[in-house]
Amino acid sequence: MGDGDVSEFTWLDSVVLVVYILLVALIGARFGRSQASTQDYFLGGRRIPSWAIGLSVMATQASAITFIGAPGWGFEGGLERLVTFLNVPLAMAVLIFLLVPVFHRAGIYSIYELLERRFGPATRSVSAGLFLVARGLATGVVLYAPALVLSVVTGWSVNLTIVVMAVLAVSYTVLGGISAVIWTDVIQMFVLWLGALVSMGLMVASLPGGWSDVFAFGASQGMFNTFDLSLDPSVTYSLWAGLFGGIFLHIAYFGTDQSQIQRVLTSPDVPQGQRSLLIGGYLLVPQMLLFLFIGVMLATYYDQHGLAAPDNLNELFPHYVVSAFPPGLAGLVIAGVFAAAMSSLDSALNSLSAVSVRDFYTRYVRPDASEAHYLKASRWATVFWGLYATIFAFFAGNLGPVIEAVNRIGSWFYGALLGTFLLAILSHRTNARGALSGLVLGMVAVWCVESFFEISWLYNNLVGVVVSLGVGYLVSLTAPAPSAAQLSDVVIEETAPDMQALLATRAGNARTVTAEARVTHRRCLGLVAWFCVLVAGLALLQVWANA
Amino acid sequence: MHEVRPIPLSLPWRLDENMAMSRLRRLGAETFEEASLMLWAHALGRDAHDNPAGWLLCHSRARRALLWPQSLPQAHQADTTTVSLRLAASLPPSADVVSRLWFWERMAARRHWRVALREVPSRAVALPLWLGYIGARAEGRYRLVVLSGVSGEPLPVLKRAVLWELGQLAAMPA
Repeated sequence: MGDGDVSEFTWLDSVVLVVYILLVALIGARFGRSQASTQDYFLGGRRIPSWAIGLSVMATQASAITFIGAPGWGFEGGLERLVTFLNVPLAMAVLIFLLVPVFHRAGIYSIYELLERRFGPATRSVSAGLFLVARGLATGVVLYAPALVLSVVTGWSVNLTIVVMAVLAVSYTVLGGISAVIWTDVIQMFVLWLGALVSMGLMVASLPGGWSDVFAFGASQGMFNTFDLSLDPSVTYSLWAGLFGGIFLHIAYFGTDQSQIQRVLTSPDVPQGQRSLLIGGYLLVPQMLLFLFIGVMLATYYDQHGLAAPDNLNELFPHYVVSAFPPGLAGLVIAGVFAAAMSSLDSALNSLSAVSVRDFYTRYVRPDASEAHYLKASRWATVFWGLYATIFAFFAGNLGPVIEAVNRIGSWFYGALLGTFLLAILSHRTNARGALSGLVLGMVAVWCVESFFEISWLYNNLVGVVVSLGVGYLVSLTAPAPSAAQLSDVVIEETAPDMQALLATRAGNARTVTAEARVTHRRCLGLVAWFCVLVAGLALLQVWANA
Repeated sequence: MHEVRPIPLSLPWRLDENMAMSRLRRLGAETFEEASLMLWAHALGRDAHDNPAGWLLCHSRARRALLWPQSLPQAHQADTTTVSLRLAASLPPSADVVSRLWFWERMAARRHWRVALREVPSRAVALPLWLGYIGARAEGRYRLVVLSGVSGEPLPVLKRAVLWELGQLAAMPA
């Protein structure tokens, strides 16, 4: 397909897009009918199967920001930024082993509830407040990115497309809660992967030499050099920044961000919650590789056709789709972008609502209201956060490259927050004074490092975790140790050797519940092996490309 | 001298084995068994017929007490005769312990603030439980989950009492 085949967004494309939108809205409305409580609204009644949760996590990660931003990354730097995501299998193993069992067994809606039980109300309120600020801002960016795409496609103003998308996302999230979020994400997952794969197929078909052109161009331009072994901490995407900084980024993102971990809490039991994370652990890196590879293919296509890339690389992929795809297919790919955007927006809105209602409204505004009232309040909170994100999205265009902007906003907060959760779970000596000090100083440390030192932003979460852990523990020594009641969610009293021997005897003689729960270790080891396979595969590609 | 233990009133089993297994699996337990824990019931308030409006179920080793907001069943002996693991509180908790436990319940729910403990003798009550065990010999670390056989809710507040009674049982000569 050459330049002479330029098409526009035709009526057929519009039909494909509208059919998709109607489908999503119908599914959202269907789940809205069966909701009677906040447990239904925020946790789907704890009845959602692990595979659906896993695909939902995948869909959210493959948000419009990835769909639009990652091809731009690939176009500009090839696979170099894959190191940011290479650690995801290891991060998932940590979550499966450490965080998911504690969160799930605590029977909580918002993970910040655990901090109150462990450290008291102030720590919960501060952490939940930080989440609202960080996720609220990021949601504005998440809304802005796909609106930009629709603006390019339709010729409407960006602000108008922001409003249109916000109304749609808020509508079905208000109606269906987390169930609608997850089940629509499952559909959206397939739509956006289909969109990506169709794009790849069409691009390859438009190149005279097909795949060999892509690999030859990529190798000649050094686009398959995933690993930069530089020890210089200012190198943004070095292997070490990706491994040591990136792993904390992803543990914090998937483990302490309510919009991510809330879905794991919707699973019926701990093993299913753990299993849901396995899907992301195995498939998130290949997914990112897919979108980066689209960027490499676009670079090949632009080079062969002598085209100039747009100034804003976020517009690169949509520009290509609209100009080069035949009628109908452009609509499908744009539906994929739309799917990606919705899957991020809906989960963010539902989690923001959950934290607003559970961590603030039910504690400070109406502690004794009925369940029906809280359900109504939750829906209004979703509307409020939709409006908030819309207003912020109007200004998101000034935040630079979209994908980095979202990660940067998160990295100011999430490292310190992860440190606080690790203190809650791993340290039995830490108390409220230490936790709050660690949380605040952890964030201050990240701000200082970012302001006064030249180091990769990927290290921000590592700095936040280290400072909040160190400060939190040391300051805790200046106040009494927590009571047994405060430790009850994270510390089990039966750790004494004599009691362990007694429980071993009783457990040995008791009847078996299931063999299902015993696979946690195997799951974690599988993810570590998968990480090794990925590293080896990318290293081989890099060696081949440079040979 | 052998201690004379009271015959407790039995609270009804409402959670069957399959339901218990389902809940215990969700909590991560791999093995399980049924048990009954003897608690001491203290009368609370008065209803229209001057009977206790509810009962505070106490154990001297428990972190918190349980509230039984209705009349106690008269007898359900058959329910607990098949339970192989009977955890019996040897002595009722002291008045101070009961007062403290009741204070925490009143603090937790404002509607209980005006309700008073009645000065009538406490009664022994057997609470049905499902005990789940998390962990494996290979890991060398075990954890206990206590599930109510009445409501199916996890009862972490009773864990200390159950562990204490398990320890007492193990220390008794065979």
